[in-house]
Amino acid sequence: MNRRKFLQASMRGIGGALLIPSPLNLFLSNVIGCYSHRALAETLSGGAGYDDRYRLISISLAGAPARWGFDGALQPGGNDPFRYNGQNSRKESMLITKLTPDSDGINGVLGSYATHEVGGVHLPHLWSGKIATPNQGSTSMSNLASNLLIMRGVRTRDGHSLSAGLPLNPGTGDSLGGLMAGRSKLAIPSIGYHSDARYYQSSKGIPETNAEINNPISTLLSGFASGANLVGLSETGVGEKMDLALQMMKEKAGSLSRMVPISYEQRLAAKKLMKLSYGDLTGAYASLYSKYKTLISRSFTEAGLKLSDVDGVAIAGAETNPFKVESDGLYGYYKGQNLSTMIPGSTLLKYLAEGMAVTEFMMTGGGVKSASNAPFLEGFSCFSNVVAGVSLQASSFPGVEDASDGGAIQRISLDGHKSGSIVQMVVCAAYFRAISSCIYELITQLKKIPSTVPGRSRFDDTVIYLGSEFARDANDDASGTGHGWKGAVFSIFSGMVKSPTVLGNIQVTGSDEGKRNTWGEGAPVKAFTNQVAGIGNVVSTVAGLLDLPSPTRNSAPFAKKGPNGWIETTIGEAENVE
Amino acid sequence: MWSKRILLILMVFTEGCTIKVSPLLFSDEKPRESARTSEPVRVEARYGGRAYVESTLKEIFKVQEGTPEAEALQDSVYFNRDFGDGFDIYAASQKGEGAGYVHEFTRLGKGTGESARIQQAQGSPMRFAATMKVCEALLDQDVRLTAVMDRIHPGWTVAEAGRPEFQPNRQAVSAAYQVFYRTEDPDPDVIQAILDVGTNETRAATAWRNIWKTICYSTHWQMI
Repeated sequence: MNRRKFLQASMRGIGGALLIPSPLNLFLSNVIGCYSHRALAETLSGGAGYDDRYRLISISLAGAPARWGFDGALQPGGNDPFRYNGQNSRKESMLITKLTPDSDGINGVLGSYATHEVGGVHLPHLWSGKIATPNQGSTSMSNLASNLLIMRGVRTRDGHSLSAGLPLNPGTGDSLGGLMAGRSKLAIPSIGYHSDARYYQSSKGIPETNAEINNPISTLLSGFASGANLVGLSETGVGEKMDLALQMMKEKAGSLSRMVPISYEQRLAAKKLMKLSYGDLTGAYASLYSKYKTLISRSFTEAGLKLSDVDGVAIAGAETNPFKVESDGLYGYYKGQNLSTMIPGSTLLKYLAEGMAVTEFMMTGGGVKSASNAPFLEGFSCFSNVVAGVSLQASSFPGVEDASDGGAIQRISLDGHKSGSIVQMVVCAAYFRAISSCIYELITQLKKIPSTVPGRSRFDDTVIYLGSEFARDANDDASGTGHGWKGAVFSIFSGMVKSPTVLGNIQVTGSDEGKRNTWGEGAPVKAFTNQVAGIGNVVSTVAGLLDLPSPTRNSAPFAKKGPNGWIETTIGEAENVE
Repeated sequence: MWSKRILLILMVFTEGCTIKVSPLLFSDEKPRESARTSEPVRVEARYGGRAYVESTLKEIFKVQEGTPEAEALQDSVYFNRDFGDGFDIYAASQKGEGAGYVHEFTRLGKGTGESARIQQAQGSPMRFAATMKVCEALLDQDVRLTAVMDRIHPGWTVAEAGRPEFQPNRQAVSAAYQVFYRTEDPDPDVIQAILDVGTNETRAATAWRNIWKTICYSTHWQMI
């Protein structure tokens, strides 16, 4: 038996014991024969293996919308201490989640902060409504709350760009995505979509693939296509011998520390992927994009999804702060007769639709024969997209003129700084309905995929991490918001969460002049040594759920995973602190 | 030495696929002393960017600038973001007129937005898939095979590949290996394994073609 035949024989698990040319060859043949290939096949197919059990999906609500209408729960207990503004007047408050008839109000309505109880937790009124599901369906938004963990009252930093990265990359070491990718053997370990390269860092040198491209799925996988005839793809004959030689090179080079150890696995992963047939990737992406685009569009326009006391209200605007809007430094007021028609039907959160399509494909396989997968997908801009995507009709804003040409302006921005309470409530309701619809659909798909752990679905081992640069604080006069970096909100949707949960303390009275309301400013938490929660506490929570070492090890988590794999809170119930 | 081999054999066949063996068992080296006093400073290994890979391949395969082949290599490597962004950060971005950041791909009008971008020059399955394609595309051309063979056997041609002195052997494969790994002494086991790729191949040129492909496939010649 010559050397090659011996190796072939030992790779098949027979006859090797009596003819041993060298220990290294024996080791290699066994490794190739039954360890590496099997592990690789398992991981590529999303099969068994610790490394690829978990998924992290980070969605950044870029632009930082006000959260008190969605997950910035201000009265989770139902009757927690609450203050509208310095004078505690509902009439001039940003903190509204619904409108009710009131002769003392503006054009017969007055806003209030109203909640809806879900699983014993009082979430903002929006949760009493419905969200769109595929095929023109809908479901109660409260169904999404079952797997919701809210961390509120988090002190982060001011500034849009830098603060957006902190929840993912809070320090100088590995980012959450880098840690996820570093543990994975999947073909595309990390994807960034309309994100910033600074938010990702991997000490193992695992790259994040940027998918800001027209057809992300087919482009991401295009490198693996058209390679079926390559000699090196063969698993027998010369291809087999090539693998053995390359494995030998890896072992020798590895001992000399001259090689990135994972590169051999990466090449094998490439080989595996090049042998696959991917089907119609363009069609797969188009289908997924269309699904999410429809869900988003319906969230903004479908009458049956709108709440009659939020964005389905037929009232006229007025020249008062709650109806204020802005355009490039010019201010006006929404004067339409029907709030429900304020946002045009053409509104589309393009990045959200694209990002969700890529996310679903990469996290589930998308129904196409593809081994490609990613344990980490980083966020995509959302709220800023609303600003850019909404072209309000100039006729609704007769008081606003474009100073540059004297004519009526065609576009009105809905910047959170200068949008009044009612305008902002209407926009954010539709926006968060869209976000919720997309996340609910993604969860539905993740639940269909079995986890690597028997009895669990992939959603049970996934963290959908929803954050933004900061939350928004609320002007006492209902005229807009500021950067609420003293009270950011981060939410997690995961199968590890079994009931709606709100954690973190907030101040009843805001500390800044003009913000003396219960907008969500962080208050000390006893379990955090009486300090206000910081971004580290949030990151430690996410890392812990994913069995990652925390990049912020000096910060305790809000909650941790219990022995049964489901979440357990560690800091007590949320409080509003006087 | 032999006692180590026997130990290893027993371990492999009793524990099978789940075996985890320290690399030290495979060498004759004595276990190292504690590294506390002599731990060298570690420099993170890093892959060269697309410009580095392109220029290395051009040199190895003697691709002349300005030729259609150079253009093809440029398209498949230099304008392929799977090989990472530019090694020179100043080449990777440039200030546009009043608009801030303009990526080089956009500036050059190639690959605009239609290739997934690896943020840094690092290894990835996408990179090595591209490497395999490029290596095969180059070596499937007789002119490129002849060019690279000329580095170890001056005067080699496809037509005369069957001559006895042109047959693959350990010495010639070592020379081929060092075309890609210029500063590395080839390991005897590695050379034998690469030589095996050409063994039993009756077509002499194909034997060499596959040997070169194997070396070209390997990942760490792209490291800097």
